[in-house]
Amino acid sequence: GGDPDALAQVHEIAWEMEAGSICGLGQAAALPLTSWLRHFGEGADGGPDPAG
Amino acid sequence: MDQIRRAEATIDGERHVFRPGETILQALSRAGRDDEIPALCHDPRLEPAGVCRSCLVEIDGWRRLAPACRTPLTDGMVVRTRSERIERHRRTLFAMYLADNVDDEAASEALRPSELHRWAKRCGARPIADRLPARRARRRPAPNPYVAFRPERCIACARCTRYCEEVEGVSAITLADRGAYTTIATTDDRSLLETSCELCGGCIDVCPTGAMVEAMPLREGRLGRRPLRTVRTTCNYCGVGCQLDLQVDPQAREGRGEVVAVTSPPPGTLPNDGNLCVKGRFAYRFIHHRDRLRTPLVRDRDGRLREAGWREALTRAAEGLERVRRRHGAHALGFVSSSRCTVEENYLVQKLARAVFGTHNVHQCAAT
Repeated sequence: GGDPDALAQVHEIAWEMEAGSICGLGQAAALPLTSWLRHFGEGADGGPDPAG
Repeated sequence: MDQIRRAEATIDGERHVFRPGETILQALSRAGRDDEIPALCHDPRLEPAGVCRSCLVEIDGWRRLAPACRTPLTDGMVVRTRSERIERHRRTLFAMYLADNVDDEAASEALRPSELHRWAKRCGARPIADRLPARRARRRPAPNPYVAFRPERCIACARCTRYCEEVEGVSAITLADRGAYTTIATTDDRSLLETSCELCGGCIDVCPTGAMVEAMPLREGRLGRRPLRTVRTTCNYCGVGCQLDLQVDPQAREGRGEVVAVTSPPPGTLPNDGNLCVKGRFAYRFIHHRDRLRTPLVRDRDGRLREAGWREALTRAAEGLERVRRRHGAHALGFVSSSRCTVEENYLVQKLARAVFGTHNVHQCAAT
């Protein structure tokens, strides 16, 4: 499992990169990360088994 | 007669009539509200850059947040400077800036409060995780005596480089490298003394975090030791009459006080708009110089100078000057003052030369 605080911070940074970046490079930079978290992070269908 | 309808925008529910081309931030500034929005890369003397991203606001109909410093108002525009989205943005942005910057305590050791840390506190931002090492490069050793750069405080807002280019017009410093490594540099990493730098200190004045800082008080350990008194005065050096602020340590020199630095008054302060030159900014050390005379000195027949009282010294000077005037005429006299004297003292010297002794032979090192 991951540190929930750290994961929350990662989500915040990803959000800020999209919301605050001056150009498309920054706006898209966090997409691979958020995409991975959505599909393979904790709680996702492809994610780790919470039971162990 | 038809009434001409003025262009209007709404900011936080308030109507603002604006001039063509005026930005959101400029309109707020005119309304006295510019302290409500962080704008770390902005200075009224500079072209807006929009690089720090701290001034982002919401505009109706715009999908993205917009930089208030760079976005011109349009007729009917509806702007919001406060919202949950903006608060979340500011909190996260400042947390990211703090991640590889100094802590509050270090930031407070400065002549000017750090705008970054002040806003971070105001927005409830805390550093992301354990502090990251700052990757911005230091300057090479062999420093100049006046301008120091502390990269651990730099946020690459480019106020300093833009001031150097747009206001001073010499482009002595520039941003170098990329990403987390972005730092301030000179050509070939030269000392500022070997560049076009005029040592105006504008880079120090505009720096929002104290990364660019006065070297003398820094190396003397004077920053943040005691609260300093600010004394607004007129520069003594030339005829422009620039306003500057003396930073005085009231307890130094056994309570007699000491000027430890000079800072700029805010932009907009006439006549110099907060801009200074090398003399006004850095040449204040004559004030407490140990070579300054403390008592009058007179020269005896053996040619040596000795201490004397005011009465004796003034009498000697008056008698000598009068003797020359009688024997050789007024124009055999010359009066030399100093730009390190006050305006008032220099006025008196020229009055003495012209009205008392009758000669125009009077000068001082900054007279134009």
